[in-house]
Amino acid sequence: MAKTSDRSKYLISPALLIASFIVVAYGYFALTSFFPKGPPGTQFVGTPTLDNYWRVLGSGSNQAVLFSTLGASFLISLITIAVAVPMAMVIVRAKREWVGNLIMLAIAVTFLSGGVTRAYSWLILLGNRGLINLGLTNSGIVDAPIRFLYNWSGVGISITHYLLPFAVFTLIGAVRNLNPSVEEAARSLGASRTTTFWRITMPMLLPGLMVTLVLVYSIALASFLFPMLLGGGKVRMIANQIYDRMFVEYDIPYAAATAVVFLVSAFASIWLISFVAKKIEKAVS
Amino acid sequence: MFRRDLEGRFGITVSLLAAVATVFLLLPVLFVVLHSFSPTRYFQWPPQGFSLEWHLNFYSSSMFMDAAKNSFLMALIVTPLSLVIGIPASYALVRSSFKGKAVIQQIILSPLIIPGVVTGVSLLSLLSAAGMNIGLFGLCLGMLVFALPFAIRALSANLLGLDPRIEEAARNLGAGPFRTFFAIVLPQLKSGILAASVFVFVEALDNFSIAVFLSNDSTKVLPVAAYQYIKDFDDPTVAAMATALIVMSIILVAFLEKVMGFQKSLRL
Amino acid sequence: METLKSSTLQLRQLTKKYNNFEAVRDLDLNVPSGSLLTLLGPSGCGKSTVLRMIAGFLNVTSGEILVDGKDISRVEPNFRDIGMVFQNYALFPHMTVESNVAFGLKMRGVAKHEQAERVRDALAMVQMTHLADRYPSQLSGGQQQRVALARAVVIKPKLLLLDEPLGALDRHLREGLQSELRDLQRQLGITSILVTHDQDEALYLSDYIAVMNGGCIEQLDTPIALYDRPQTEFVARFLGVPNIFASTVVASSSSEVTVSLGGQNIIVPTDTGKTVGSSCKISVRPSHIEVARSEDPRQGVTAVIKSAHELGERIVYHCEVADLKIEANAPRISSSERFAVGQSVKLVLDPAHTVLLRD
Repeated sequence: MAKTSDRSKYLISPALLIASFIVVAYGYFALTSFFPKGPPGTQFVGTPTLDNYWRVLGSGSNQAVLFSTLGASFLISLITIAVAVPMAMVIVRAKREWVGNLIMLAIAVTFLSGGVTRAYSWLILLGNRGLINLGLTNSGIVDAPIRFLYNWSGVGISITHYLLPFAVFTLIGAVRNLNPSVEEAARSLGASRTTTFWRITMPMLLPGLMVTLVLVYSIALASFLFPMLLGGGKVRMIANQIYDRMFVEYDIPYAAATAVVFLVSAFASIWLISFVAKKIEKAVS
Repeated sequence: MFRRDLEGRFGITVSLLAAVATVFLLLPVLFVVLHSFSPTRYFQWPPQGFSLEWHLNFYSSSMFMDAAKNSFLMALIVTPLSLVIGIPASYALVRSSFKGKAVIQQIILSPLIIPGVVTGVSLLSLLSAAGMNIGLFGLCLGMLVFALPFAIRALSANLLGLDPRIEEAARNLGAGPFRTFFAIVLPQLKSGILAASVFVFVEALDNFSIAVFLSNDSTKVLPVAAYQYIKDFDDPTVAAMATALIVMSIILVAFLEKVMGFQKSLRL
Repeated sequence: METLKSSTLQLRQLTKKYNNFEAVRDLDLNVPSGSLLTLLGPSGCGKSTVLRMIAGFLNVTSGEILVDGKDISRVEPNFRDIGMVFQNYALFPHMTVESNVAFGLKMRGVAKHEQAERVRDALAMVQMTHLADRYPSQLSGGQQQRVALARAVVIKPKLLLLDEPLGALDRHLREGLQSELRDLQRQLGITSILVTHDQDEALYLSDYIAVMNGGCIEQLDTPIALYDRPQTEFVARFLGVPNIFASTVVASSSSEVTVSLGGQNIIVPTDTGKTVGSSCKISVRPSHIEVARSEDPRQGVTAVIKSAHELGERIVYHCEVADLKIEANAPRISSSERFAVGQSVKLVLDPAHTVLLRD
């Protein structure tokens, strides 16, 4: 179109190099999945086969890991959004601006402090004699410590915590874009604040919620470090399975087939969520 | 701005929920700092005193110090590289149209969507199939692939906010395409470059799922070192490392706030 | 500032195609030296496309852009020597007012002391000297507009292009700047092309106006001629003429045609002969229709007043002849006769301003 842009497209070239490297890497790995495992030191040998896929899809324990990864990620994403909505509301709408700034600061510092830090901290916090359990038992809420570690609860808590900044950042934009006069109209027509929130604000927020859901769900699916540290081998998500097949079983083709199945089911489930989301949005509006 | 609906019982409920969520968010960060000064190996409450033992342990551990050196070296290589590649690429993606643009964009950004483990294992598999010694080069390459999307996202967001007519005005006044880029576009990209640098730097330092595949004993990075330490030892040395990272992130937030307002930078 | 050596601009068969869509089609245009020509039209008519081709931001599909007789259509924008004031001004946000104005001189390698002098003069010309150290974000819209103008003319360009230069300002400010812009352009004597969709702005500023529609020029005229005698229905409607009547030719001669208006005959002067019985369209502004008593002896149309409103300087009458609705204005002065609703009147159409529209 513009003269200046006729040549500016060539500026993409260095990135194109990276892009082709990515394509080759993913492509080669996917190719690997169609071959039998090779002897030590090699990646694969022999003629193409679908055996690896039968191994991934055929075993009940593999299916269990796949479905628990998808299901837990979805549940965790919903919880994350429920926690994030009040935060976003307060950040955008708190009368005192410092309140919002303080929460943003907390999010930024948490976000930048990194995953390993947070995983480690939860590992200590959630232990049988950790701060959480001490608080719960000392205050008499529970008699015996709750086991958080090495089961889904600890993994879920830490992943929720990891996702929270992403969810809040995305929701802030959605809350900001709400037209407050619609809510004011509802109030003037006699709706209480609570009714206005559920009947007016939430439906208007729905598209933003759905975008956030898809985002945090896709991040949750990729969880690796949190189940590895807090799941202690008992809670395994697909990323951990891929890692084990690579470094414990040294079976690269099997790992590759697992990864391909993982990606396909991840994209399919994300597509399904977006599809249902659109249906819900349509039904509401 | 509409700032009235956080009143009444409903407003108090929302504010309370937000307060609880904020405590939940900050708890691990504050706790790990506290824990790093614990005089005991295991967590105890109330704290039995104050000790710098674990910090000393961290800073005197050659494993952690080597890992820190590797991590920062890698991040300092990857950050400028992703800018050098990311700035022209973002400009092309935002300002010009060409065949296959959408596909190229999807591919470059794909490491954002594809789980890190898959990216890591793919890169490892390709590099070793090519007979390459992974080393620092492989680690940096992997991290560049992973971090470039963050740079491009921040830079594109910045570029999309720039009025292309400003560049046309420069051309109109006699500046050639290169002059226009360096004298007009680049200065306006300051906040995007800053945000991109911080994101890439932090992500490169923090990344575990790719680093675990692409680092070996001589190129071990901090997250991998921390993970191995947690598995083998049960003391707060990793809390000391975490404290250092948290201090660094506070400094970064303060820096971003001073230069451009961190709220704005996080939106990119 | 001294008067610039002013150039002429000619567009020959200028065409811009996007895939199958012709944004500009075979456009011919001559802009005499020193004059200001406006491209006026609704959005999407191709006026901005023409301007961007002249500036060099769009490639020409075919045709020529001649500045002083030399085709510049393949020249890079930075070598065209054409000043431009952009919509929203496009000031460099990271440079002070002074550096913004100096930019073009710097690109031309003008010596430092001359740069300073010319920037000073240009800023004085737009009364912005006192704000030379400010950044664009610290300026009001009107001030930004002045800086943009200074930046464009300081390079002594061959042409000045103005892309909706006042569009982003509020009405009050716009009127003040319009007269400044006009004075400056006359004083510099710089050949200028203005693009706007605002007819008042065009009528006020221009020496010539080209009304564009669908990539072509519908009518090229002086502002007064355009206002009084729009030649096509599109131009008449775009310029807000409410009275456009479909009619049939009753009689035709070499200098005039007689048409039927609501069953009554009216003579319209024209040199385009029309065959009797053919349909045609007539346009006349309400201020060119005199409302007279029904017994008035002049040629006119007898109509009934349906409503009468006194609005500011005018009295607006809505009248009806058969099923034809006609709007007529009378000056709201004490000597004007007031007619009541329901009264039968004679509408006298000023023949000099009653136009038989081109098909």
